[in-house]
Amino acid sequence: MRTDIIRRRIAYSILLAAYAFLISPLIVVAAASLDTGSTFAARFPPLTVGLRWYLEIPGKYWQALSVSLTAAAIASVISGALGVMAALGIVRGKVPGTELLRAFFRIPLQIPLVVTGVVFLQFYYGFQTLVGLELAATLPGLIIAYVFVGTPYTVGTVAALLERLSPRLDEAAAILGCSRWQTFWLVTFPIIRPSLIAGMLYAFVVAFGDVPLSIFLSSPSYTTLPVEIFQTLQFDFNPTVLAVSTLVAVMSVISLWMIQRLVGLDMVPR
Amino acid sequence: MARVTIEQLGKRFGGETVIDHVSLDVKEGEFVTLLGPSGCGKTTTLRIVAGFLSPDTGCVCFNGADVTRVPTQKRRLGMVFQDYALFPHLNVADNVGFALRASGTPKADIGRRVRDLLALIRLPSVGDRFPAELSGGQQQRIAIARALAHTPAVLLMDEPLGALDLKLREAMQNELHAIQRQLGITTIYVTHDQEEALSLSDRIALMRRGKIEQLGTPKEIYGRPATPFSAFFLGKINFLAGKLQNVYKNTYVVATERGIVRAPVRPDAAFTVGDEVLIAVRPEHLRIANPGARGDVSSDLVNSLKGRVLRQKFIGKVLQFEVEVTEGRTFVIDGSVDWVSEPGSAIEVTWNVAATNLYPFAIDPEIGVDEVRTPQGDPAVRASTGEGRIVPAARATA
Ligand SMILES: Nc1ncnc2c1ncn2[C@@H]1O[C@H](COP(=O)(O)OP(=O)(O)OP(=O)(O)O)[C@@H](O)[C@H]1O
Ligand SMILES: [Mg+2]
Repeated sequence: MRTDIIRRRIAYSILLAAYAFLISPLIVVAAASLDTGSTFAARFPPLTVGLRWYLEIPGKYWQALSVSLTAAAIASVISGALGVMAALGIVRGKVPGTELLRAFFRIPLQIPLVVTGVVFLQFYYGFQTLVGLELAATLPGLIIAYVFVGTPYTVGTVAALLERLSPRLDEAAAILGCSRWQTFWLVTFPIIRPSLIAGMLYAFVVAFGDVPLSIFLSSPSYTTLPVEIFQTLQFDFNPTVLAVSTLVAVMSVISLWMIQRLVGLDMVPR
Repeated sequence: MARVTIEQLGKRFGGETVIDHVSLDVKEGEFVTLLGPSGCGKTTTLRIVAGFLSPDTGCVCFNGADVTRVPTQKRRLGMVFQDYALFPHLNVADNVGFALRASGTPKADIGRRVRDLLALIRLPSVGDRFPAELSGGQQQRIAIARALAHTPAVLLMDEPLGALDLKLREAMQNELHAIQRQLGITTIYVTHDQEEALSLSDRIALMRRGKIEQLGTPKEIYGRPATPFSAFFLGKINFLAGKLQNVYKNTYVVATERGIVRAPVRPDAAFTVGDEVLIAVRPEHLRIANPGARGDVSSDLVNSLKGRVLRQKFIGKVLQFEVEVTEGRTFVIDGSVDWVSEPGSAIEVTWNVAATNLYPFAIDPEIGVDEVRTPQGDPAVRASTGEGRIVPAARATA
């Protein structure tokens, strides 16, 4: 009885410590962004509290934010579609060598993003000289690269769920009069939807927060938010960057919470 | 409702023949069971009828029309799977109404039909629940309701009661029977439970190693098994090897190690003197007599063998006796509780000649016919050792 209580308290403390560890950088940044005094360094704890830096956020951040959101959102949708098709092929396909295919879809995760960035840049330059279409520092260029790094996540989460799904369900749907297309939309898709959304969210987050890949695929006039923040921190620090970071963090938490409420992120189908 | 004809069906998996020239004609509204031991090809046959597998040879016809190449969704089937395969993301009402929704039936009609079906399976108030929130037996019934919603022409069931406990199983058997009769729907049912097959079926197709061993009504197969395997698989049976000595007044006279056994001459099985034969008799036809009190035992109409009681076992409605009739060969006898025969006592086993079946002798370890017969000519009684020695019972208890 006593040991039970002690054990529960220990577990609770560990949990608390882990949360504190994870959230403390965010708290420091958020608090420092509220300090209205210092203009050259982040100050924690803040001495004078105000929203000065939030009001002074320059327009380039908003522009970069819209680039990031657009590219990451479109890329995650494409990753989702590709992921579903690939996972269906890997798990349900009757072709030999699905193991190899699976390994193939994990490759993007195993290459350092910096390398991927360099490769994509080279590829885009080559493409431009060959076809005459500019991809570097454009929205399509970013999206293609993000799809490349995001698809392994959607393949992974969807395939994991498909594997646990009884193939009898498809047969049952066929018996009840469904064509393959209907079976997909009435049975398979609703069941894989939570895991698909989870995978798409990973893909989105990876794209949205990426610096090493995006830094090669942006230009001073066309850049993503993390790259913009990175440049600011590196070359001309300004407390507005703290304000922007805090805003992004708060927005992420709110949107995650909303997704959780609306579609659910639990991977287990009911 | 439809008539289902299976003709000369064959299917191989990687060089191994799984279905071997299976032909079956299921009449409209008939309940036919595919019965057989594990791996005999029941599920494979059913999956070919369902259209999940295509046969290597032969064809499947519904009402005379060849549907072998018709995709599953166009065959107008209902199916109950062993693991139910209810849709986990849909509630019970949506599961049951699934086929109607897929075919674009108006919502109000679906609602009405679902309500009727839930009433039919006597679960009227679970429509809002999800499959995971139901017991095994309830899921089972939902699976049946779902299979019936679109009024299929043929109902297929693959061991639908396999996962249920005994009591629930019996209850569901009765319910299934009632529903099938009420709707008069053509049904092909798969099971390896012989009692289930006997109690539910209009006809049974007894399968073994990809072939139909015997096709007939439960009474026909039970009462007149065509092969030793049929006798073994449906009900219990005692086997004894012998050699045909004589044919006398419409009676075969067979010499066994323990003496003479008579069997009636039947038109469907002819033997000639000198044939090695297998005698088969059901436990419920056997009686135990004390050697002293001989009544009609010597009559031409009754067989009798000397034996020794090894064991008696109370199994509910009957008292089961194991009697050693020859060394290593025991007979199982369904006796009544008031028979008194202590283990070790010498008795006589008797039964009506009419209840005796004869088959050509063939070694078949699967059904307990495996010993090499002692040479004929000396049917002398062996000395009984007197102790209650238990011999490994090489007998048939399906
Ligand atoms: N997809 C397959 N590939 C290879 N062999 C198979 C396949 N499906 C079935 N078999 C083999 O075919 C034989 C018959 O299988 P089937 O499932 O029809 O048996 P069953 O009579 O339904 O048995 P049970 O009572 O155990 O369900 C078995 O030996 C099985 O190993
Ligand atoms: Mg089976």
